[in-house]
Amino acid sequence: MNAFRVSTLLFLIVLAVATPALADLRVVTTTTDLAELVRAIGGDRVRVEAICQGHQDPHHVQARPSYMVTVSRADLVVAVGLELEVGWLPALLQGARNPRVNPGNLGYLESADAIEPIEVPAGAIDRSQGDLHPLGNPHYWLDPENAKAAAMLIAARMAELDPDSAAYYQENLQRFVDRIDRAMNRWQEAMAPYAGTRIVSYHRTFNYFFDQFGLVGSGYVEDRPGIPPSPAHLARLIRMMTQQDIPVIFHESFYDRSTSDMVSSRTNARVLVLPTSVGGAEAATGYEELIDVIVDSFTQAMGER
Amino acid sequence: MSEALYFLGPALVMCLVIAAIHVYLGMHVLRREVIFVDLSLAQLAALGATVSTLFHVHHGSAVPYLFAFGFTAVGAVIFAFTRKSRKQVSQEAIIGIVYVVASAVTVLVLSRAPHGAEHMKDILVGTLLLTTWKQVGFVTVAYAVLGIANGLLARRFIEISWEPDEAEQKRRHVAWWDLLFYLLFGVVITISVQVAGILLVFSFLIVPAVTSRLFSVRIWPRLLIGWGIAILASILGLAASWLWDLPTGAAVVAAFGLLLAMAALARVWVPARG
Repeated sequence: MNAFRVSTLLFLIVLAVATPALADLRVVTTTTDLAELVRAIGGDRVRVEAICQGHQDPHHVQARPSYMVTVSRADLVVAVGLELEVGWLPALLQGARNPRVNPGNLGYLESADAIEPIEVPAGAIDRSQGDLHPLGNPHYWLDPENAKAAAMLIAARMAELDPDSAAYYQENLQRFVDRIDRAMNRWQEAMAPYAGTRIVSYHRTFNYFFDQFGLVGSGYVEDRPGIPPSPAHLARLIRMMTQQDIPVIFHESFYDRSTSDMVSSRTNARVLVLPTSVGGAEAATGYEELIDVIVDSFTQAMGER
Repeated sequence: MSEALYFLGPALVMCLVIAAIHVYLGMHVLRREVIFVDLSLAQLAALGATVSTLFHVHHGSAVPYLFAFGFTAVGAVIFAFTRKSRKQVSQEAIIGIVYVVASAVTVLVLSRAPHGAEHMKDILVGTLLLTTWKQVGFVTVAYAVLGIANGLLARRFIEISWEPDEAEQKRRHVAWWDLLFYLLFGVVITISVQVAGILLVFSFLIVPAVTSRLFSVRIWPRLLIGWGIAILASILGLAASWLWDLPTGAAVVAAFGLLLAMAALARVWVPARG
């Protein structure tokens, strides 16, 4: 056989082997939590990658060539939305030049469409108030009910893009929803004794978690979102925390902890460094585990008081 | 490989366009011994763009550029008219002070803006990776115009850069020509800092000029060597960024450093002619 025939044969073999892989739905998500949802729904018929890692700040991600390549090959991009990623995702999508995943098309999904946002600001906003997330608080995924809603939305979109696997996705979705429902029972049980506890956090990431589990968000170490706190603000915060005997500060693991530590040293509050996304702590290997880490850290800290 | 070209194409062409004019201007900067003037003007440009964000500017408008140029124009005036006072205070000191104060004020302004820390990083290393063909088009046209302006004025500028004392004697009103030089220079820097960041703009200006000086003193050979270095550094930096998934702007700066080190070694081993 001459060289041409050999190479053609090899090409056909490669194509035959590659074809099943080509059938996988390729999904890129902005956060690891969304990647977990996609994985839970898609099983082995989906290939998913998250751009922002669990220990990174999702508000700002440094662009890299590999991200552009990954997005260019994707069938579906799932973002959180509510302008969480507005600082880096639009530019990345533009650079990747994949028309399938441009906003407005089937291949682009903002999962926050599935939920009811809290803290939607009324009236005029300007930048002097900080990074107020003008469409509402985007950190919705720490409320498991929201995670379920997002999963349903994602499953519907994946079924639209890959109708042959729609039934498979639906099965997996149901299994995921059932798992979360069962986990919710034990989480509610664990958190019930502490309903009404006032908590201070560094940024606004935990507010949906507070609402779901009966905690009361009572202030932020960060004065204005995204801006390092001023001494005057910290003085007021410390005074308030001492008056109301706030027991813990929820501190997102990707922020520098020196300010929270300083506030803790002047009050009775303990700093809890917590993951906000899957992979943000060693034990937070999946979505259920992520909520477990937050619930267990909190209940343990309160138990030791 | 073709995938790399597809994604990095705009960044590569942007580097080439920036190199074209910066290598030439860098020679002037080196000759005038005002190495840090471009850092100063670049920081002033960055400060201007930052200040413009305090007002409601929508993305893609020309307002940041106007603010940036306004601030660099102030710097241009200061540098043009302090050149002669070299006897009392070295111009380098003045340039350094302007740079440091502009940087600090930038930090103060950003302390009021969300995600100030990330903006500081973008100012330093730029956003080369996400360059679009549209941006490349804009910069090419702008630099073509500025290049022609510099070309027409080349004779006079070279005279005042290389032989300012003789020019003074011939009553050439050197200070005003200096001002014109720095103003044009300021426009060039204002544009490139927005895309490539301060560190990379400095590298395009100074490293080719320094490297070519190792091998020649004449202008045209130096231009050619300088352009060669800049093109090579751009390709190496972009390639490294692609292969090892590194931030693009910083990789090109590192490539410049590497090439200069290699050129210096080569110069040690290969003795100069004549």
